[in-house]
Amino acid sequence: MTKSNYVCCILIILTSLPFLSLQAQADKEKPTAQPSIMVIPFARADQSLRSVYDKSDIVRIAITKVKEGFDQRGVNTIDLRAKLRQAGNNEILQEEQAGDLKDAVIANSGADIYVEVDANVHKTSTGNSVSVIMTAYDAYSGESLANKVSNSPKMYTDNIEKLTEKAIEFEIDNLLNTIQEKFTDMMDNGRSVNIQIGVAENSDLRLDAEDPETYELLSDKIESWVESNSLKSQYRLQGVTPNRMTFDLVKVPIKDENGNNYRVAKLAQAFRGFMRENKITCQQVIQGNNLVFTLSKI
Amino acid sequence: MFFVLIFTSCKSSQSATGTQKPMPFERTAEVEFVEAASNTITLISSHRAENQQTAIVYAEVNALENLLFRGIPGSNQENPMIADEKNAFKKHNEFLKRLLDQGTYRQFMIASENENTQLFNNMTQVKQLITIDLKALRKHLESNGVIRSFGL
Repeated sequence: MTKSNYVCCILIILTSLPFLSLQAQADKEKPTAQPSIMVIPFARADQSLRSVYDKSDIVRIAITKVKEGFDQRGVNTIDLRAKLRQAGNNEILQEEQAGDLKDAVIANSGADIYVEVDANVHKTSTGNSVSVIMTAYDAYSGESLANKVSNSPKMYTDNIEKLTEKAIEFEIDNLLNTIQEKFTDMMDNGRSVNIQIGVAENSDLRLDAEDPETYELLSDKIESWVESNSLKSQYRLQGVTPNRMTFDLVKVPIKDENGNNYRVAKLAQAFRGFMRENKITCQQVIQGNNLVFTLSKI
Repeated sequence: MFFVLIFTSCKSSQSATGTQKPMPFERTAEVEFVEAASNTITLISSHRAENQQTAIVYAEVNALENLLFRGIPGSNQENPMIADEKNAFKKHNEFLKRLLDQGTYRQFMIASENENTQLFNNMTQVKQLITIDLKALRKHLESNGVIRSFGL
C-alpha cells in the first residue's frame, strides 16, 4: 500500500468516527417503554366501573381533573370509556377468530397502572366540602405507588363540582411526585413481574418431585432459577404447593444489557428453556407483567 | 499611646462607608406555605442579611432551595423537586449556580413582595411573600436534564 493510500485510509477512519459515536449514542438513548396509566373510579364489588362512572357527576369531574394533572406532565392516559368501547368493537371484529377465555382476559386488561379515584360530598350546617381519595397501584403486582386524601375547603356553596376541582388541584402534584419517586426507584431497582406456575390438569408432574441425584425438589430448582434471573436477586415467593407456585413479585430491569427495553417475553423464553433442560414442557400466557406457566412432562 | 490602642481595639467592624460586614447565605427552614393555585405556589420566606436588599435576595433563594431540595410541608409540593441534592450539584453544579446564585430563578418568580422588615443588632430581617411558577420551573429543570420528565 502506498503512502497516499495509508493517508486516505486514516482520513476515512477519522472522519467516520464522529458518526459512529453518534450512532452509538443514539443506540444508547433508546426511549424507555412507559407504563400505561388509566384513571378509574372506585367501585365496590357489586358495581361496575362503567356504571359508577356514568352515574356520578363529581366522580367524572374528579377523574377528569386527575387526567388533566397527568396531561400537564406530558403523560397520555388511557381513557376508560374509550377502552371499554374498543373492547366491544374488537370483540365484533374478531368474532371469527379462534379464541378462548384466556384471550378474553387479555383483551379486557386495561393498563399497567391504575389510579383509582373516589369522591364524596360532605354536607353540614357549617358548609359543604368534598373529599377525594386517590390511589395509584401496579395492576399486576398490586404494589401501591401513591396514596393521597384531599379535602376541599368547607364553603357555603352548592357548587360541588368546584369543590371537587379544588380538592384535586391541591394534592394532584403530590400524587404525581410520589408516583415519580417510585418510577425513579424502578429505574434503579427494577420493576415487578408476577409469575404463576401450575401443573397441567392431566399431568402427573408434581412440583415437590425430588431429583434423585441432587435431592432438590423441582420447586427448589425453579426458585433458584428465579433468584438467578431476577434483578439483584429480588423476588418474593408467595407460596408453593405440589401443583402451584406463585411469585407475586419478581424484579426485572427496565433495560436489558444492550440498552433495549426489557421484554418480559424474554424472561418467559428463558424459563421455557430452563424447563426443557429439566425435560418439562411449558405453556405460557403473558398478560402485561403477569406470566402464567403451565407445566407438564415431555 | 494607651488611648490610641484602646480606641482602635473598640472600633466596630464597619467599613469606611458604614455598611455591615457581608453575611453569607445559609439555608434555613423558615419557609411557610401560604396557598397554591393551578401550577403556582405562594410561600412566605424569612431571612436576614446586612441590608434589606441582600436579605430579600436571601429570602428568595431560601424559598427556592427549600422547594427544590426539601419540599414544603403542608403544601402541594411536599416532595422536593430534586430528590438527590448531592448528586444534582455533582452533575449540574454550573446550572444550579446560575439558577440560585446568579439570579436565574427570578424568571420563575411571579411575585416577590416584602411583607415585613425589621432591624436587629445591625442586621436586617425580612419576610417575603413569593409566588413561584411551578410548571415553568419544572420544565426548565427537565429541559436541562436536572430532573427527569414524568415516567420511567
